[in-house]
Amino acid sequence: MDLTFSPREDAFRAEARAWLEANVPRERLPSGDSREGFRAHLQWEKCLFDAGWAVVSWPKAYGGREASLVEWLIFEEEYYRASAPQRVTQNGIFLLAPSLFTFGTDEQRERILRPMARGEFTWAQAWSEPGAGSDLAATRSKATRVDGGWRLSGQKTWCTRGAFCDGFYGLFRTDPASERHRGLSYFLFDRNAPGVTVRGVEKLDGDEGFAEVFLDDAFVPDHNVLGKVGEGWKVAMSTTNSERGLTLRSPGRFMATASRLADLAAQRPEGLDDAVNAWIDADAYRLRTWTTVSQMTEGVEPGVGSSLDKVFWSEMDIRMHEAALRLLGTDVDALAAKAWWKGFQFALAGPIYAGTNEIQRNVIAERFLGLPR
Amino acid sequence: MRFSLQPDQVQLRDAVAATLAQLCPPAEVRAPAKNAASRWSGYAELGLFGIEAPAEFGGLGLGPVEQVLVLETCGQFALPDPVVNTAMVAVPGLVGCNPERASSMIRGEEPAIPADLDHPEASVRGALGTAAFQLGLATTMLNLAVEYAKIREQFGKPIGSFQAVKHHLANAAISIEFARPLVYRAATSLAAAHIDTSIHVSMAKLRADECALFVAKTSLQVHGAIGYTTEHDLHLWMKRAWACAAAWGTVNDHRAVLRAHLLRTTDLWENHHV
Repeated sequence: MDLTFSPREDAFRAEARAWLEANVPRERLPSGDSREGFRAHLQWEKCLFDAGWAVVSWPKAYGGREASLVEWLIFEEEYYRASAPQRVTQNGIFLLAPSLFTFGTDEQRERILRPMARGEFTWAQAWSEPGAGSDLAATRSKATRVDGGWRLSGQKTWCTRGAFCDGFYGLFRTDPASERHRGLSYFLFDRNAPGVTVRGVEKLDGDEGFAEVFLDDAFVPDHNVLGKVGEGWKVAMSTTNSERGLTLRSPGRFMATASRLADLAAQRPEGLDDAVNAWIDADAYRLRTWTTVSQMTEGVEPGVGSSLDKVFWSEMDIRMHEAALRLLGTDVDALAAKAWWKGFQFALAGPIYAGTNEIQRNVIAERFLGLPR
Repeated sequence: MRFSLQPDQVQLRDAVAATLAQLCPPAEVRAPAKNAASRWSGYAELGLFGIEAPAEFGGLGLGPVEQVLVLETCGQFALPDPVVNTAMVAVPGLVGCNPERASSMIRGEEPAIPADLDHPEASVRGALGTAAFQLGLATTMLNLAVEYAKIREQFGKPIGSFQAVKHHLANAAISIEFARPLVYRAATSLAAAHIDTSIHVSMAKLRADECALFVAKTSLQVHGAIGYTTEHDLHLWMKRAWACAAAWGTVNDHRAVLRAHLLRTTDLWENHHV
């Protein structure tokens, strides 16, 4: 067991720290889930990309620096430590991109990845439908075969930042005789394609960024099918594993939150126990992630472990924010309080997205513990 | 950076488990006095007391990480003997200052006495060894509940098919899986003489205790009334977990250590990459 870093990894950390110190905007940007804030965040993404920090683990050909998994996690630690802006490209770079690398064609990668990473073409996940939330296999949106492509019809909902993004990815039923997870295909489609209507939905924290998407015979060419026709579920499930654990919520995020809570508690002893819990939780999650990464390096895939991770980080995040709010009261700098309130409201969504914690607990019970379905 | 068990460590752990299954089945935990001496000889023969001791002492020359793996396995079997104190605290303390006594202890000729548990590293080692033991206890308590939930039927199906039961057990699994890395990290820190070893051990002991107590409660709930009887084995593991939570620092003691550290520290993660 060795928790030390190599000189190369230390140098990588130092380089990231220095660049972030010099470049992270001093003033907090408006929320990336608001119209105005989204634009400001895209400027930041360009800045990141042009300095080679937007997608550090990607191949250089697509704007990455071929960082290892360990280096990527180091970058994330430094990123959150620097209070850098939220990544509004994340649904593209963390969720769609891994699927493009695994299931995409060279043409798709060439066309999509660089603009995605530079924030020039942003992506939103069009996963859920009114009748298909936890039960994604109940997807009813359909795709009908036409010359050179497909016509998509149906409705998608809960698309984060869908109100502002350029493109969407989602599952559509290409085999009309199919049911459940069979006969689905994974499509990429443009918000501006005829037949696509996007409607913003306001979230309880005041941001508009959610969206509903209505598709009415919208044409999508063949080259925007990701993976094989009829195998969309397989492609989707690979994305879902990334979302739950490693790529969406790296430990750095919670380490930074715990640090901020510790700063609050330093002045308010009644908060010390909460701060200790937050610190231990964040450290436990960090260490577990190092275990997962080590195992991945040894050829062991995370599998159902990502379900345990998801429940843990999402509930940890709420605990940390609740603790901060208990401490804040009225005798505090207004900006800090606002940030904690915003963070708390967002944390409440954690047990809901990326597979509800109820579903995750079922998965843990069945696939990790072997209990009957 | 490599924070996963290697094949030889897994093999050691599995070999210890196979032997302990023979040496210490639940009947031994239930009535420990009768075969105490032969169990102790068995542990010595297995090499339990010399994991970290050099070969010239009859030891395996391994380190705290392997020691912790072995003690976690001992916890799975709820060994009703002072293995943590002897193997993890006394022997490493004696190796330097009383080699004869150390060798004798490694051979299983005597368990630790209070004087053997009074050296500078004792409290850190005792807490860490007990934390590892707690993980093992918790693992078995969870396994007992899972197995019970698979076979106990009510309303025409195994109770493990009901979501409430599933969620209880999932929560117990999460508790263990997120306590274990802290225990292994503390062992890694001890092995590396990390500056924050005692802090890491306090984190490990606190979480392992909380984990074992939570899994005990959960396992009892899943078993229902039968788990509440002394006829069933569960209470043996539960009582051991309660006892371990009071050994080498309670949750309150370790929490106090961590509160004090947090107040002294400006950067929680400052030393984590040292």
